[in-house]
Amino acid sequence: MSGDHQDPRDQSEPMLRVTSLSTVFPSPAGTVAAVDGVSFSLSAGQTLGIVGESGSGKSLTLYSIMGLQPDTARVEGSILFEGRELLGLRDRDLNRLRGQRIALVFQDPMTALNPYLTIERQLSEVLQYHRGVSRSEARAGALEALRRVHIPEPERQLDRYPHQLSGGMRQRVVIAMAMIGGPALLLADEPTTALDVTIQAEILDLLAEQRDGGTAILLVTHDLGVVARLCDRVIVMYAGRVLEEGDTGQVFGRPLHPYTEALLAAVPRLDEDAPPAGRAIEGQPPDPLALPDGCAFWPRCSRVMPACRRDRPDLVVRSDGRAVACHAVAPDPLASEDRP
Amino acid sequence: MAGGYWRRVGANRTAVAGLAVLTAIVLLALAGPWISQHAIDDIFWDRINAPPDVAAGFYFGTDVNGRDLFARTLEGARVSLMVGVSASLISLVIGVAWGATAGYLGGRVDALMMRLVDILYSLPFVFFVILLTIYAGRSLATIFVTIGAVIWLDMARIVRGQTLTLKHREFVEAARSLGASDPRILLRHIIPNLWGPVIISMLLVIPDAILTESFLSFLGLGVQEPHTSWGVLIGDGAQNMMEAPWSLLFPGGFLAATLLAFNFAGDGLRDALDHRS
Amino acid sequence: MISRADAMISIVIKRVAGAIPTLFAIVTLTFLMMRLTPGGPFDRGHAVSPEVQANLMRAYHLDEPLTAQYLRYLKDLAHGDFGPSFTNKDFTVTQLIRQGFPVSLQLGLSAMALALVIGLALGTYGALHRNRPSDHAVVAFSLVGTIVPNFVMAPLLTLLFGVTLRWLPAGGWGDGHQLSYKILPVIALALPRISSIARLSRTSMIEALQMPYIRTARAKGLPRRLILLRHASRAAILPVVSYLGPATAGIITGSIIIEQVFSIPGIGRYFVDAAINRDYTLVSGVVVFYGTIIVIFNLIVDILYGVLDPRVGKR
Ligand SMILES: Nc1ncnc2c1ncn2[C@@H]1O[C@H](COP(=O)(O)OP(=O)(O)OP(=O)(O)O)[C@@H](O)[C@H]1O
Ligand code: SF4
Ligand SMILES: [Mg+2]
Repeated sequence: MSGDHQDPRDQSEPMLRVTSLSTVFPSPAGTVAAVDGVSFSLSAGQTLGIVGESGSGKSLTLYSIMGLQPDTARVEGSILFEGRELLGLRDRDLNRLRGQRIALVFQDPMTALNPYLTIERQLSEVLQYHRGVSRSEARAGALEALRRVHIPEPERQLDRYPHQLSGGMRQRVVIAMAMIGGPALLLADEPTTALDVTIQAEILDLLAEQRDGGTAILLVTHDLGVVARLCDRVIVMYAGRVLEEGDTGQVFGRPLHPYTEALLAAVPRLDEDAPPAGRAIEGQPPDPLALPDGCAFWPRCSRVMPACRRDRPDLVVRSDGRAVACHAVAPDPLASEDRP
Repeated sequence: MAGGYWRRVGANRTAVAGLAVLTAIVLLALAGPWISQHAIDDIFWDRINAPPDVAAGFYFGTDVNGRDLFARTLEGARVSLMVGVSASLISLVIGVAWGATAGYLGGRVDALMMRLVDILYSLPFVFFVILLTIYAGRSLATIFVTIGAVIWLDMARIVRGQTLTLKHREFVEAARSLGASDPRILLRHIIPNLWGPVIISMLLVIPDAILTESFLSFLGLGVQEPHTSWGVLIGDGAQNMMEAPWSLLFPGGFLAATLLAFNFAGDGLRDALDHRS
Repeated sequence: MISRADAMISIVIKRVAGAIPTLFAIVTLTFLMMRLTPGGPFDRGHAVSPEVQANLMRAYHLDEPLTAQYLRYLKDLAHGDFGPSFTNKDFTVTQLIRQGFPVSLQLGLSAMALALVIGLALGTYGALHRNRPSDHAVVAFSLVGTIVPNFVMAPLLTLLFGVTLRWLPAGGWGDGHQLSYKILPVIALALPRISSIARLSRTSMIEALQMPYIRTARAKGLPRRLILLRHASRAAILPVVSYLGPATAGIITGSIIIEQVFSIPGIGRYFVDAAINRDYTLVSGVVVFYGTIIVIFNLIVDILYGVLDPRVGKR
């Protein structure tokens, strides 16, 4: 699957290169690293999935890339977009990229739309502000954007307010809003959560369309099935850190990290009505204010060893291109009999 | 539980400061006749509009008639506080009766009773107080009765809300299953359990009453000579402020401090009580 | 789908229907007080001049039954006829109100406009500089402004700017066209409303800026100014709009004080004089008049709220 959508540009510098990204909240009880040393890169036409339980720092990773983290947060590391360092840019400079080159699909379409403004206003302002087009051109653009996400009766939806739309329609509006500026990089935060299966499938097709048009997509989701369908590569996050990274087929086919394994085991196999993945993993995600020493996963890990409680495993890139952070996994696939 | 409540009030510094200032003002008002060096109506012809003179016992100076402002400000405090407390007691009686009945009976009766409260709420109530005092005369008693008669609305709303939640508590259900009558349940089981929110709304209603009284008295429509109140003193002081600014500043300062203190105390107690539930 | 225009019309109808009982309550209460309280104007034994007595008899048809008098009272009010003045035998209440109202209206509207402009500016400023010294200054100012009553603040302002500094006239209304006479009264009348609006809008702006849709707007790369004016302002201004009803009542009540302190020839002056002289009909007339204005203003505010919040009246 990973080879299906390769782009010649892949050989050159990737579109997005995130290195050692950390987003830290100072608090009276010490600082909390909600995102902790995350690195990855993404090229045009590629799709990278981020999975992990609630609170693992997925949304915050996306926000940090766009400079939308809460005011109290401090972001460290490096975010190179098209060769340019985004970290430390002023809002004024970021605004030239936001909505235009980089766009974000927000997690919750109920609250992401402004309840006081019409759908048209919220779509067309992107074009009006960035492209300086007239109000009527912008309206035409907004209509076109709604058509592209296959909203029924798009003309009518333009003049409606968010509360007049169903959840699925709102989700599509949110996607249309992200796509209207024709971004090179799309950050999508759980774009299919809380939608019924048919609409989910439509939204996924939409994203695939975008990707085939050359857009790079960073897709956050709880739903491993979505990752399997759409993503070339996948990152597994836990307590703000990357535990495993690799080609989707390899990671899902033969998970290396015990946490990935547990996530996959929790996926409902036959029925779609089962609770979302991740719920079924034993134990609770750790309190970010009181992370255990050593590997953050050890209290819930089936393969815990004495070293795990003492030393935090680093993310090690193996010779087969996969990366994993676990004491129980040998770094070299050839020498390893770690996964029988 | 109650201990925890008071500890939280204690932790709320503004509430404590408000209560402390209130206590001080009440004590000063009560002690007025003993700590004043001069009677409220003694006229000192040689001291018309005299500035404060501590040595001679005129701590706040004198007014345009040569009367001791310290004694008069404390007398004003007694009257203003009394009007505030009496009016709010009247509003308490009406508000609790109205709100508890509406909340307890519920349904149509409740809707009708609260609709009336809404209507009255949107009326310019100060005007009705003035109207009432014109018809009923301007004695102290009419003033606090009329003020009380128009400011019970907040109390009724709060009490109704509280009654609605109490109505389905076990002890009320138990009393009902034992065959207690509605009036008995209201009087024995619901009203006694309302004290918390009621005390807090008293702290918010009293300054309202004081303010209304001062407003009327300032205009010459409230407390009449020989009585005085902060409003009367402020009114006189405003007339006379070019010669004797202290005759405006002292009663005005006392009134503002009192209103501020009630505000802080009320907010603090409400926070503390909200935490409990 | 019900269109937004239809929804608005139904809101307006509902609100108008809701305002009618309030109007009736005002009129009926006033009427009953006038007619039924012991010691009221129609009590025998009042020392009024024969002309006034005759005027009253004519105007109120005191020989008719109470219900007939009430209906007649309603009918006269509907025609803007508030009856004769009780103490000014040469004037009707309507004439007196008509004389004073333009002045009071100008005073009140100017104060309201000032309160909105300054209040919103201060509140927004505080919200954008949250927890910095300038924000604390806004909070402290609005606390003082809400707590210190009008009748203390107005004389103090006069003392400071009119008497001590002599920057502005200490009282009077000039010939009605001189701005200098209006500055102090308008500021004094606006001050408590400035404080309340500043406090309200500061809180609501802080809340609005934390809404997720603000982050959406930022993600679109919109400039701060546009985010503030287009995206945050609606939610921030709605509580202020709701407050306009009480604010009107407050300004009307406050204008009585202000007109008294600054000797301004508005309705408030007549009202206080009438109350002191027990001019029952004039006082009742003003109560009904101002009551009606407040009800109408509340109605407008309700409708305005419906216009600003698309969710009102829709499920
Ligand atoms: N304003 C904040 N102050 C302190 N900590 C915060 C703040 N915002 C987020 N966090 C921390 O960031 C962590 C990650 O949050 P994030 O929203 O990125 O999780 P997520 O992986 O997207 O979860 P979900 O699947 O529920 O969306 C949270 O667990 C929380 O501890
Ligand atoms: S490092 Fe240890 S505790 Fe952590 S996942 Fe690997 S085996 Fe489990
Ligand atoms: Mg998230």
